[in-house]
Amino acid sequence: MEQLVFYSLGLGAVIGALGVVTAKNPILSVLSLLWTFFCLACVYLLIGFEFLAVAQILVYAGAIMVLFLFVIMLLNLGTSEAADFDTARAMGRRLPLVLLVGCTLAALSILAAQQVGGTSDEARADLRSVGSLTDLAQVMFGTYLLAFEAASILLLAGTVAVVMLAKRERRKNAA
Amino acid sequence: MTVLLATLLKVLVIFGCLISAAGISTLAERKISAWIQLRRGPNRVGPFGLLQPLADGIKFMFKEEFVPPGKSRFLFILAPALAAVPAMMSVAVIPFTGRIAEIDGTPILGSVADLDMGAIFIMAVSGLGVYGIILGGWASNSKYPLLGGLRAAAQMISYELSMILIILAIVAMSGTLNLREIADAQNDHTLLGFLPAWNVFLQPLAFVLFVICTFAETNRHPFDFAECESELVGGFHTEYSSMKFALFFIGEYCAMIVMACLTTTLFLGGASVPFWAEAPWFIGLGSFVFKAAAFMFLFIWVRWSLPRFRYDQLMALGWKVFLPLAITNIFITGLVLAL
Amino acid sequence: MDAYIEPLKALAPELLLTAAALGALVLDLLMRGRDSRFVGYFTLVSLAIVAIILMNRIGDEPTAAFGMVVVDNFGTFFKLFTVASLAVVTIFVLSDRNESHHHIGEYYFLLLGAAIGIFFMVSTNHLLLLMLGLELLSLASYALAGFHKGERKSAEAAMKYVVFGGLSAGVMLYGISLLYGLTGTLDLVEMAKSTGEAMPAGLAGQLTTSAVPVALAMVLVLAGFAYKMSVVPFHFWTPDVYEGAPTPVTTFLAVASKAAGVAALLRFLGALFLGPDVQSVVAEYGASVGQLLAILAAVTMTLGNLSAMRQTSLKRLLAYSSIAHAGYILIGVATMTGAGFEAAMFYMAAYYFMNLGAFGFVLYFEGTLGSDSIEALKGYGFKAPLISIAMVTFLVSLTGLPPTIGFYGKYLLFKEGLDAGMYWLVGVAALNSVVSLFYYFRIAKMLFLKEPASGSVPRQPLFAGLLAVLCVLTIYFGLLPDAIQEFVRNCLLI
Repeated sequence: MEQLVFYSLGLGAVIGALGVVTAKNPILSVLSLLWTFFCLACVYLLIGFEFLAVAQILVYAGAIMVLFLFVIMLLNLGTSEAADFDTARAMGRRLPLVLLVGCTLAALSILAAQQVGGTSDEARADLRSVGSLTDLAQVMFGTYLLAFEAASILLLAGTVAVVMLAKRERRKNAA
Repeated sequence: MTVLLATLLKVLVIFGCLISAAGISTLAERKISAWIQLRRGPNRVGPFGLLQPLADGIKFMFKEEFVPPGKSRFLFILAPALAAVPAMMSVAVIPFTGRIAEIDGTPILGSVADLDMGAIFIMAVSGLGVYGIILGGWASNSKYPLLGGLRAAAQMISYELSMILIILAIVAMSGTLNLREIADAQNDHTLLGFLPAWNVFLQPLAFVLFVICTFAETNRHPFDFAECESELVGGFHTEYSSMKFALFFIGEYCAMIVMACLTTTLFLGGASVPFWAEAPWFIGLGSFVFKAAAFMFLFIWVRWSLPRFRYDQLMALGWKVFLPLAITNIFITGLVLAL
Repeated sequence: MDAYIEPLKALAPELLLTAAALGALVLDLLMRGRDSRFVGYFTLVSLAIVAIILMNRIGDEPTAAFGMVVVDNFGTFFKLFTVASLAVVTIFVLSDRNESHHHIGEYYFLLLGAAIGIFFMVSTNHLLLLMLGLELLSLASYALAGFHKGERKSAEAAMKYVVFGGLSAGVMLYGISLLYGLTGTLDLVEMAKSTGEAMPAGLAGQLTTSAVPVALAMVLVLAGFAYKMSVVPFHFWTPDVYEGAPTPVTTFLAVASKAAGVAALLRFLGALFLGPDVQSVVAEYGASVGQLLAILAAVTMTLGNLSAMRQTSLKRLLAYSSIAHAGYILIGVATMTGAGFEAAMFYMAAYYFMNLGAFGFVLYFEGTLGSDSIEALKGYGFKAPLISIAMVTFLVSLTGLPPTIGFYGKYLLFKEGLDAGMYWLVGVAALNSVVSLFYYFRIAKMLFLKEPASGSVPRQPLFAGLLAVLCVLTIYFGLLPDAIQEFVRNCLLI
């Protein structure tokens, strides 16, 4: 049962991802990506990572993708511009390459998964125990406290960079 | 088996009540607005016009379906559903009352799902409601709806930030994200010997900010820029008719109800009754409904009393006043808790 | 409480830099429109304080903090390197005539932020922190490359950098996630130490059962380092970004950012393959990684040097030359020995003097002539003799001729390469040095052997003085390299 759910979610995510690159309409692309995120969130739920699932929805679906939609609408990217480049056909023409890269990555992932042997019941129980909020908090603010703080500096730098780049320039007085 | 049945029953009752409550709210809106404006309001259908929502519903079903050409037909039809579903989903974690009964050692609680992440879940799901509005506005292929949709998106994202930060302060006080536990945490002691330890007294700033945020989050007056009749004709739903329009409407009222319930849970001790800790569950339920209804009244009252903001004022308020205040609130809360 | 305060002391330089970065931002806000140079001086003072703290640390016993940061001499060496290059870059900014001093607070904030990223990168054995540091550095670099946002080339540089950086970071993360999946840890020392009996199997266990996933993970992670060092085939961004970015930023990218890539790579390889508790299977695997790096080194230096010959823009030429130098440095890395690493570190030190000098010249020259084309150099040596002579010294050093530090650095690299038995690689490198002679000396020829053009050049004593000092040091350490060599030896990883 669990396997079935997992594979259908995986299939859903892959279809969504394909939709992102092949959809002619950028809005549909964004919605496909949203669908992919949703499937991923469900996968997280399946392995007991409730917080990660909710965070995925909250951050990616609730905020980031809305911004994407926003920008696409403001730029008014119609289908006309996207139609010049037909991703589906372009991918079709390079089908061997697409298949090669895809299959290589898939094969390697499967190989790696086998190496880890993480499908034992023990490993699963192990996994579930870190899914809870308390454990997550302990890991985040205990073991990885420094990485967490470093990430905050990273975000700050990102914010400053974006503000600097996006700020409207006043006309230079000197020039 | 009985547990499963009880849960199913709970689901049916709660969602049935939610939809009816949305209908009743539309009637209340019209009645109260009439009262405020010294009119009579609907009074022809049924006694005191009580059957008006039903009549409205039937009317919507028989209206003409219209899909504007040009943009995606699929998205145009999808949008109302996307607007209504998140609001209805988020009601699942609201604890309407305490423990109802116990079957085979499993307590039957007053919410559909007693999630550990309740508070975050509600924010995550209600945040999805914006897709319905923004897509509806875009798929209408017309400039007023598009503007309405974009405004709604910007507004909801901006205020969601402050809202989450405010909730964080409450969460820090009760040490849990579970809404039931948050409600319970407010009832285990009293302040100064007589005041219930509700967060509204402990976190007055957060309360005021949160209530105002809920107005912005549900696109209600004085922040209803998604519709904004005087500028945008009707905003994102200008092109919608028939049941699709009704779905937007139901979604909006459901969102209001959820926000009222959330405010009750976070700040007014949920289903508790002051000075009566041992109140049975139906009294608690009544108390909860009473508190939530008071907030619904506030929603309507404000709509018919205050003028609309200007859009830039709204954004400035969100980013330059609410966000800093919410962050300050977290800092103060953390400081007090640490000491 | 003490449990938190004590490790914070170990992080003093990072914390100070963060404070300085925020300070620069706020200071610019307070000084709005008045004296933007003040922010630069503030940055210089902060850097000096950090440098003093770091100097005091040299020779201390290695300590760890927060389970992630390793405070050791190796890290301190590269931190000092970063601070020193940043100080010079700051002086460049202060004397840059093209800089409008608009958003100067953000400029210094991003520079310091990039330095914090480097600090984390060079002092951790933990892949998570390594990645975060790398991203911090990259993010700040993207914005800095596009700092002149009104200019087409600057915007193009930022765009290309972002696309390339994002891709490489993704590739590297994928590799890291594979490594984590295979070994169950992100700590390199743990990874190399694990015997492979318990679950998860550890690197040793994985290598004995099936080496393919490990090889893939290794290649992907190395790709991330290769991008930071601009090693072929991850070098495509380098010429465009170096050309488009503001020249002080180019200097920073060419010197500090590249050094960070080298340092992180050295630490990665050192901890994984050359540490004291490494399983023998893993150590043997290190040798084959070394082979891969040797091939990369040969390709990189050849491609860099051949491309450099055809350039007409001085900045692009130096970009290709910096690619070639990444190849030389890789010789030392590829030997997979302590002595080889030492040679690579020494070469980085040499690289510091000669490349800062060369880019300083570009900045000066751009500021006075408004162009960086090699044609415009004609007769420049007669107009600005002092800095032109300095430039020739840097070029000599870049080529690797005596009596400069570049010569000694190359000598060390070649010697270690020969000791490790990589004769073919050293042969290729020697041939490459000959090739590089052509294009470096084309510049020198333009400077002095052509007819002087009319017009004069404004003087900038501070700037000229800085270049003169760098020039003198290039020769001084070339003749007496012992001081630096001693210093490097103190800071060795293994």
